[in-house]
Amino acid sequence: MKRCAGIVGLVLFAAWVALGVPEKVTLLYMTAGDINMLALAQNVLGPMFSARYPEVELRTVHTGPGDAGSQLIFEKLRAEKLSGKETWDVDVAMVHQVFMSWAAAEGDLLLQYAQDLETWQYVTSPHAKYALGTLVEGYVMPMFHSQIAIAYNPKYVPEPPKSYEELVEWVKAHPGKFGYNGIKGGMSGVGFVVGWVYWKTGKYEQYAITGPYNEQEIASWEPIFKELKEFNKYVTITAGNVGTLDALNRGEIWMGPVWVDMFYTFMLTGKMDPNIRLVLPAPGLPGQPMYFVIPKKAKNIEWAKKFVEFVTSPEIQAKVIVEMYNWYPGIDGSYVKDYVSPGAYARLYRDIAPEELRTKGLAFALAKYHTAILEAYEKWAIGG
Amino acid sequence: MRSGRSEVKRRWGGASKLLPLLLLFPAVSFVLVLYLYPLFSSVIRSFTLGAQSPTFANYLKAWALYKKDILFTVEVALLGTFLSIVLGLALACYARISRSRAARFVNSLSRLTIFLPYVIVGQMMRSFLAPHGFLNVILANMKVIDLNSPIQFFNIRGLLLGFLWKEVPFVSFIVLSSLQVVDERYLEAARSVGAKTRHIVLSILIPMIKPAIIVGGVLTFCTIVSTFTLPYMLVTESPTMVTVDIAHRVTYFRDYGVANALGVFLYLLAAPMAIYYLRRMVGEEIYGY
Amino acid sequence: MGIRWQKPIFKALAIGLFVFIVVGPLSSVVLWSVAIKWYWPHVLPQEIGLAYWKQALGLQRDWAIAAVSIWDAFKNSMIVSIVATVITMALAIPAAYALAKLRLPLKAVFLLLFLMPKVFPQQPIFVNLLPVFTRWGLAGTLPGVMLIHILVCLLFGTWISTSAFKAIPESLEEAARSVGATRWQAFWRILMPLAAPGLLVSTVFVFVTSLTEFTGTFFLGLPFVTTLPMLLYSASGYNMQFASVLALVLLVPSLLFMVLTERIFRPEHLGSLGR
Repeated sequence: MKRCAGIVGLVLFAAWVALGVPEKVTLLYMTAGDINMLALAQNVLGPMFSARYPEVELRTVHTGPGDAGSQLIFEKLRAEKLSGKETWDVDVAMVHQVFMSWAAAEGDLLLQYAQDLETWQYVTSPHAKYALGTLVEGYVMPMFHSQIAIAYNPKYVPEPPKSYEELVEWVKAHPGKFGYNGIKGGMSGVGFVVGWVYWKTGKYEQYAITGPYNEQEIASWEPIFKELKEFNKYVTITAGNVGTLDALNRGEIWMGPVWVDMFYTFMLTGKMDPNIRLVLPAPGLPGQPMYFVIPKKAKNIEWAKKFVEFVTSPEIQAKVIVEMYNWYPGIDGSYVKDYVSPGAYARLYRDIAPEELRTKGLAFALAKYHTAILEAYEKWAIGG
Repeated sequence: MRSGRSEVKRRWGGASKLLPLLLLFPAVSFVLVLYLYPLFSSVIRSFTLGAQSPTFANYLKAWALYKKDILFTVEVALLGTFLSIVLGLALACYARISRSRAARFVNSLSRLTIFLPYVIVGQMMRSFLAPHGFLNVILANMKVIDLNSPIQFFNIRGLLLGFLWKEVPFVSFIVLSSLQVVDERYLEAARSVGAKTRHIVLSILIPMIKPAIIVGGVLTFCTIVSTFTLPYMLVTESPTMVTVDIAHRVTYFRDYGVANALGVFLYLLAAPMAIYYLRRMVGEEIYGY
Repeated sequence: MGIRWQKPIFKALAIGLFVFIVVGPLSSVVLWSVAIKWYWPHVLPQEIGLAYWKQALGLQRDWAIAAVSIWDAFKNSMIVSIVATVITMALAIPAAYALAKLRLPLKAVFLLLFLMPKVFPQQPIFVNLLPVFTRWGLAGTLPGVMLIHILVCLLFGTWISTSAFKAIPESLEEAARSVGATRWQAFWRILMPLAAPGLLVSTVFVFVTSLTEFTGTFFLGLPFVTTLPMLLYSASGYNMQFASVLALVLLVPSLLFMVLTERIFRPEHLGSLGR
C-alpha cells in the first residue's frame, strides 16, 4: 500500500513537473532607449508584472540609445518576417516614432491591438493616431510622453526666454552660455532645429500635421539655415543629448534644450542642480512618445497585451512613470491624477503647465520634411 | 648561415608543396568568406543603392555633404599617426637606453592603456577634457588658465589626445620589442667611440627597427581612420570624423548607399598604407635575407 | 654646473607629467564611479557611496539608480572571448608555422590578408555582413559574435605567432631532424616548447582584443548578445556613474595584461613583427 502511494506520488510529481513548470511563460520584451529603459524593465516593470501574474516572467532585451536602438528592433522584426516563421521571438517592443514610418513602409510587421485593451479609453494623445504623418492608430500605445524643453539655471538666467526671439537675443548677449548638440548627437538638438524651422516659417501645421510635402519649400529654407549658422557662432555645440546635460551639470552652459525625462533622471541621480528649471519658449518645441508595439506573429500575444495594459494602466502610470521618474504619462493626465500624490503631480507640471504643454508641445515634422530639415542643416548650417 | 637556411628550406619545404597551403587554408578561407565578401558587397552597394542602374550619385552626395569631414579625418589620422610614431619612438628609446627604475616604471605604466577599448577612452576623455572638466579645473587652480575661458578640447585637440593616449603606448610596445633585439654590443661600440644618445637613436636604432615602425604606423593610422566611438563621444558637430557620418546616414536616414560610399572613401585612405606595407615586405622577401 | 642639478628635476617633471597624462583620465572615472551627488560649482563630489558598484555587481536592485547587474554581460564576454581565443589560436598556429618556417610564395600577401580586417574600416563591412548572418541564422547569436571576434583577432594571432616561431633558430629543428625526428615530432618536442612563451603572448593579445571588441559585436551581436563593452556603450548614454563602474571593470584585463607581459614577455616574441 505504501509503495503504491509512493508510486502515485511520484507519478503526480512527474506530471506536475511535466505540465506545471513549463507553463511559466517567458515574455520577450525588446526596448530601445538608454540604459535607464533596461533598468526600468529589469528592476521595476518586470518584478511588478510578475508579482501580479506569477506565471509570467519578463525577459528584457535592450537595443541601445536613440533611433539606432529602434532600428535594431526593426531589423530584427523584418528578419523574422523574411524568415517565414510561424511565430516570432519578440512578444512586445518599445520604439521611437520613426520606427512607425519604417514599419509602415515595410508592411505586415505589427499587430493592430490597441483597441482591444482596457486602457485604450484613457488614450487621448494625437500621437496615438499619427506618428510623423504615418497613420498608426491601433498599432501603438504610448508608454510615456517625452518633451524637449529648455533647461536654464535661474542663478544666471533670472528671466528665461519666453520665445525663440528672446532666446536668440539672450544667446547673442551671452556667447557660449547656450548649448545644444547639433543634429548628429541625438534628438534634443534635432528638436531645437525643427523648432527653429517652425518658428521661422510659421508652417508648423503643414510641416508636421496636414502636409502635403512640397519640394519647393526646401529651397526657401536657405536663409533660415544661414541665420541658424550665424546663431551657432554664439553657441556651444555639445556632444549628444547627454553632452548638453553634462555641460549643464558642470556649469559650462547656463541654458540648453534637453529631453524632460532625461533631465529629471539626471536630477534623480544627483547630477543636476535641483535649482535648474525648465521653460518652453514659443512657438514651442517638439516632443514624442515612446510606443509599445506588438509584432504580428508574436508567440504570446495575449500576455503581451496584458503587459501593455498593465504599464498603461492609470495606477502604474501614476506610480512608476510620474512618481518615480517624473515623466509625462502616456495616457491622459486627468486619469492619472487620482493615483498620484499631489506633491509629485505639482512637481511634474511645476515649470510647464498642462495647457502650455498642449499648445507648445509640438510634434516632429512629417518624415519627408524631417529628412529635408536634417539635410538642409548639413548643407547650409554646417557646410556652405 | 645563408646556405644553411636554404638547405633547410629545401629539405622541409620540398617535402610537400601542399603542406604550407594546407596549414594556411583554414585561417585564410575564414578571412575570405567573412571579410572579403562583405568588403566587395559594400563597394558594389555604394554604386547601386538608391538607384536603378550603377551610378556615382552616392559618391557625389557624400562628397557634397561630407567633404569637410573627409579632409578632417585625413588631417586627424596623419597628425595622430605622426605624433604617435614620434612619441612612441621616444618612449621606447628611453626605455631601451636608460636602464633606470624610472624608465621601467614609465614603460610598464604605459601598457595600461593599450587594451582599453575606445568606448572607455571616450568616456574618460569626455569628463577629463570638458571645459569644466578635471584638466581645466586643475589648470585653473594652478592659475595657468581662467576657468571662464577654458581650453576647448571637444575638437581636434581632444581627438588627438584621446588617440595618442592609446596609440603612443601601442607603437612604443611594438617598437620596443624590436629595439630589445638589437644587440647591446652595437650600442656599446657606439658609446665607446663617443656617440651621443641622439646620434645612437637616429643613426643606429631607428634604421634597424624600421619594419616595426612601419607596422606600428600602419596599424595606428588605420585605427584612427576607422574608430567610431571616440569621435562620436567627443565631437558630433562639424567637422567630425567620417565614421560618425556613416552612423548618422544609417541611423537617421537608413541610407546605406551614401554610408557605403563614405566607407569606400575610408578604404581609399587606408589602401595606400596597405600597399606601401605590401611593397616593402615583398621587396624584403625578394632582396632580403 | 647648473645643468647637473637641473637635469634630474627636468626628468622628474617629465615623468610626473607622463604619470598625470596616463592616470588623470583614469582618476576622473574613479571619482564618477562613486559619485552619488556631483554638480557644479562643486569641484569634487558632494556625496560619495558605492551604490552603483553594488547595483552593477548585482548586490542590490534599486529602481532609482539606472544601472543593471553586469553578470549576464560578464558571462557572455567570458564565453565569447574564451571560445574565440581557442579557435583563433587553433587557426593561427598552423598558419604561423607555415609562414615562419615553410617555403611559401607571397608570404606578405597572406600576412596582409590577416591585417585587412583590422586595417580597413570595419563599420561598413559589418553592416554588409548583417544580411548574410541573418540568412545563416547567426545574427544576434553567440556563435555569430564568436566568428566576428575570430576574424578581428586573427591579426594578432597570426602575426605574433609567426614572429614567435621565427625567433627560434633553424639549427635546432635541423639538429632534431638529423637525429631522425619526424617533422611532427620536431614540431611538438622542439618548436612548441620554445615558442610557447611567444604563443602565450599572442594568446593574451587575442583574448584581450576579443574581450574589448566593440564594432562587430555592436552590428552583429545586438540585441541578443550583450557583452561588457556593449553594456558600457548603452550606459555611456547618460549614466556617467554606471558607465564609470563598467570602465573600471574593463580595466581589469588591461591590468592583467600589464602584469602578464611583465612576466612572460620577451622582446623576441614581437621582434620580427610584420617581417
